[in-house]
Amino acid sequence: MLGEDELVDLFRVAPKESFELLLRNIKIREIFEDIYGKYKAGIKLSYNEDFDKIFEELFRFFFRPLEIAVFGSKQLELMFPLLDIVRLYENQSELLNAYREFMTAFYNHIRLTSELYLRYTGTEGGKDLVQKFADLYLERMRKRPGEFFEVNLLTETPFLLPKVAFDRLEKALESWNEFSLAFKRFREMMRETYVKGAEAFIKKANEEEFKSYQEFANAFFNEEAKVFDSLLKSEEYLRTQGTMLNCLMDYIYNFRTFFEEIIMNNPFNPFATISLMDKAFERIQELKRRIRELEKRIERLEGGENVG
Amino acid sequence: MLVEKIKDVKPGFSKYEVEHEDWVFRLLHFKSKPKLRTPILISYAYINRPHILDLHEDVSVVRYLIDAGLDVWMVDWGYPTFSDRHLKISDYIDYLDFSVDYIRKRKKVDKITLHGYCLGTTLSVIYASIHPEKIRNLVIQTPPINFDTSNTLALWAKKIDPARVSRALFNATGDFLNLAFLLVDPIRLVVGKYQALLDNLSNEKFVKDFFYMDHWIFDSPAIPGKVFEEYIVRWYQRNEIMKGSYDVNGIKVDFSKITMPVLVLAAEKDHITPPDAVMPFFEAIPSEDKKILMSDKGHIGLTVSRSSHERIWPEAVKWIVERSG
Repeated sequence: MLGEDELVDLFRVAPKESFELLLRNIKIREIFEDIYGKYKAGIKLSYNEDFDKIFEELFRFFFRPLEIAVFGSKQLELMFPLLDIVRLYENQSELLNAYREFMTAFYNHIRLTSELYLRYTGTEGGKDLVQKFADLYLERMRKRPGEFFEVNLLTETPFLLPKVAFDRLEKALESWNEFSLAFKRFREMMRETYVKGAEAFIKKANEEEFKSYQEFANAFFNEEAKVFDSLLKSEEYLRTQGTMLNCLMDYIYNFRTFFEEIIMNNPFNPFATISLMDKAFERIQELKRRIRELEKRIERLEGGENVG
Repeated sequence: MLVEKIKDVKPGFSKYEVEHEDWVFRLLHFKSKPKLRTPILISYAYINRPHILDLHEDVSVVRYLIDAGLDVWMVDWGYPTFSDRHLKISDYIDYLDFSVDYIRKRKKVDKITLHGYCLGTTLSVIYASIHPEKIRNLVIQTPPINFDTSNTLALWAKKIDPARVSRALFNATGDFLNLAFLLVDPIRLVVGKYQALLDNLSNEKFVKDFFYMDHWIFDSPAIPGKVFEEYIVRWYQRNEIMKGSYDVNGIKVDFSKITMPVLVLAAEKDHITPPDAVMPFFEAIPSEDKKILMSDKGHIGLTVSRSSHERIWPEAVKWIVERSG
């Protein structure tokens, strides 16, 4: 149907959605031609794994974006490993202590080396000055670790992050649970409907004779279209789709803002969050409207109109 | 080779100049030598790109209007990004007003013809009711004005919470909208259509037409979050325009102001904006010069099918021309 080389070129020139749907339809065509071959050979049709494969090809396009939305959070978890956040603070503390020990050892090394050199090259006066500096520096170094490194870091998780961050996380998890249930039901409804359409087609095919592949395929797609038309307007579908969408959106929002809260709680954070940017754009848009309004007033004034 | 057939396929036939840009919005002016006095401004749907009206030479509505001697302008609502999330529908109406004034000044006319397409129609009707003094003729194509219809898309829109979408995604993204538009009729749009392509791979014309269309379909701009919220809640869920409660910055949309000539182009098999979406409006407006042209095609077929270009468009353009002298 399409050569392998051609597929690569096609990906470059066609919209990616068209490309994917074309590939999936080539697969559907292959499976369905196989079913038709058996039908022509006089084998009675029954619902089997071939119809399941068609279902997977057909609905992969719709299921994947929902799955991706969920997997997107994994990307963030890599950047901010949730369970490791507390450990991160502890690790930092250990790192600082190790650094202090290294600095002390380094200082001792320099001091001893200096004394060694002084014995061979230094004058009496010089020795005094160097020794004086060394003593002062040693004193300063002794004080510094006490001021900066011996800090008891909080490691009690519930008190480490702002309350609102935990609220966001809890809400995200609740939404995720609800979304999972609704998504499961959504998939089930799609599958049940598809099977219903396939079975209606199989019954028809076993009772009637289709003279060509085209007739055979059209009958299948018509039966499927009929049952889906009715499903997509049904109360249960509307309710499930609504719950699924709402929960997915809540999950995305709460999970994102959870990470934003963590970032904003970090005094070293060098980034503005997307919510802060959004707020800024809202104000810019509002200012733009005011400017436009002023421009209109000026135009009316120039036209001699009383603008009140 | 399929690739050879489609490598130059790119929607958009007629040449234009960008007369004005305002961040995401643009006012386009198609190159022509107009003979008729009244310019026509096309207000396209902000949900897709405007190329569908100028897909390619054979089915270009824009070319048809230009050939009839009209001076054709178009508002391009652009590709809203994250930074455009707080645009409101009133900003769209405001840019429409700016564009109308710009054309009136440039062409030294008091009134212009406003041609709305799909959701651009809704904007056009709102605008025409607020500024009837600037509109000579109103042409509305596949118009959603009455949102209380029973098509699948309308039922879905009534059950979603757009504020949650806007809060999570900031804008209703093109991918999000595409998914919804395909899921409305999954068997025909995801399987039937592509199986037909496989049946016609050797038919160059079929293949080209197919990819012109798919390029357009999947070139989907996002809808700014706040526009999406307002459009779903105030238009779909509350049907405010039809009920007379919709306002733009405090000015009510009043159908009694629609006294100018009105041409409605609707499609019998339209699953996005069925004829029911315009009939109550058509009956309610006081215009004494109003007409409906009904195509036997669907939402898109009305614009690009060859049968529409043989039957509907000649009549539509004749109607416009007769009122544009």
